[in-house]
Amino acid sequence: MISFSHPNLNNGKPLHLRLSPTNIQWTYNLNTKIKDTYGGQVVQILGINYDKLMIEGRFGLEGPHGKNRPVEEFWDYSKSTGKMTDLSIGLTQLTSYFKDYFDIASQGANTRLSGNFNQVPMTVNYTSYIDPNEGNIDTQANQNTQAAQWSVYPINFPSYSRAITEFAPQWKIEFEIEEADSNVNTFSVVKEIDRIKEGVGYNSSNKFSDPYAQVQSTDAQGNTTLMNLGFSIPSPVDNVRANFAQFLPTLDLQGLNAAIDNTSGPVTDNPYRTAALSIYARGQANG
Amino acid sequence: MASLKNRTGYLYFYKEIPTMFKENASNAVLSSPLDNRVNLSKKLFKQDLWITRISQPNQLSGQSYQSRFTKHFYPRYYSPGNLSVECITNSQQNYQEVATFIRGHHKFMANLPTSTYAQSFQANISPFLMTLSIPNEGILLQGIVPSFNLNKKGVFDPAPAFNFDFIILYDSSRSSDAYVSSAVKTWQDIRIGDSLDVQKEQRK
Repeated sequence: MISFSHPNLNNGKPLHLRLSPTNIQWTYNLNTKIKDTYGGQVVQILGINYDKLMIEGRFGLEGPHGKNRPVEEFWDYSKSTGKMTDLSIGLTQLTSYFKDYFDIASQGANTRLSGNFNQVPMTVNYTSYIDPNEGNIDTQANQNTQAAQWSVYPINFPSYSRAITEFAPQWKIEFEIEEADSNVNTFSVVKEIDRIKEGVGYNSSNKFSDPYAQVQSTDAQGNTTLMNLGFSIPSPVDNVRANFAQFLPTLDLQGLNAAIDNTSGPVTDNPYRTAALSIYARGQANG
Repeated sequence: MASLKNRTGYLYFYKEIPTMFKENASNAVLSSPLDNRVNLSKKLFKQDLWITRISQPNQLSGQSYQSRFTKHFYPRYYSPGNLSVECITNSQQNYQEVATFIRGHHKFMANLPTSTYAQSFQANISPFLMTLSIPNEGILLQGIVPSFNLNKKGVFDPAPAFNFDFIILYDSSRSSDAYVSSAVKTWQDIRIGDSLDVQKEQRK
């Protein structure tokens, strides 16, 4: 079930529709700034936004129509109760509700609602569950699930149409989204960041930006090994690499490789290995 | 509690309230303030319609600005669209009567003195506009039919269907008091002077 509420409409009480919508669409965008650099392309995440939210649905028997009815019934949306047996809200009443909102948000008054200028967004509650991990909005709502709540501005109500051949009037509303439901937010952000982490972003072993990438490999056990070094380093290799950086002013990659490979004598006498291990041990001791 | 049926042909500035529309032949009535004081016969006072479909778009336009995590929208203008009306008639004669009726109102509006216009629109409702009443849908509107297209298809069109737009200037639908209407749009007369007919009268 879906409901709309606004503090200045219907005394703040929500307007319930008996039948759930048949179609909900929204567009999600990640605002990024892409910069090409010498070391590779950098994608900076600036923020997120949602574009239009579009909700469609149909009415069944709802809404009083026909001859000899009191005037007040036709456009009155105040009798909404939210019960499945409530037939008081049909297309005419829904139209009346959104017409009043448009008046309130733009000029603030009509003959029904004088002096009610208020531009706060409308709240849409949809009692179906949106999982923060799965993002599934089709799961049936139950007592343990919370309604999805959107903060939106209705901008288009194009569907007021009555015809003698239409027995299940269709309604359609477009909204600007100020804030999506928190679960939708979480799901969207997590999903987007996961997508980015798959292949784009900073990688410590980027062969274009890391001078040691070509001498580094990972074995089947997950240990990082510096190729041709002759031994494996069980702990984070980054510490060792960072400390090796002090040799960089005098040794480029080729020189480092040559120094390690061409050292005579036993491997344990390798001065660079000794230096690296001592610096690494010192780093470990200092936390 | 007033029923819409009793407000069907409301034209409060006339002493004589027109008879109600025939329910077996129509589901709506289009009334016009034409009378003998103008230039047409009383026969064209109201026109029964059989409406098959109505629709009206409503839009709220504004500007949106993006912050880091939210997009703010600032509503500016409400744009109520015209009521689009589809009708069907039972004869070519009836179809042409509708056209004559709307054309008569156009001539009536074009010949109104400007001063009369200005004065009348200061009130909450205008006596010079057309009234469209669809009782079964709770619709009671005042406005203008800006154009009407008359198609003649010969003998193969015994029940002509047609459609027209109704520019809604005042809406009494949602008010329990027929005299209280909301101004959906503001009518602006171009005020280039009185009409030719009035100028001729003044020259005399």
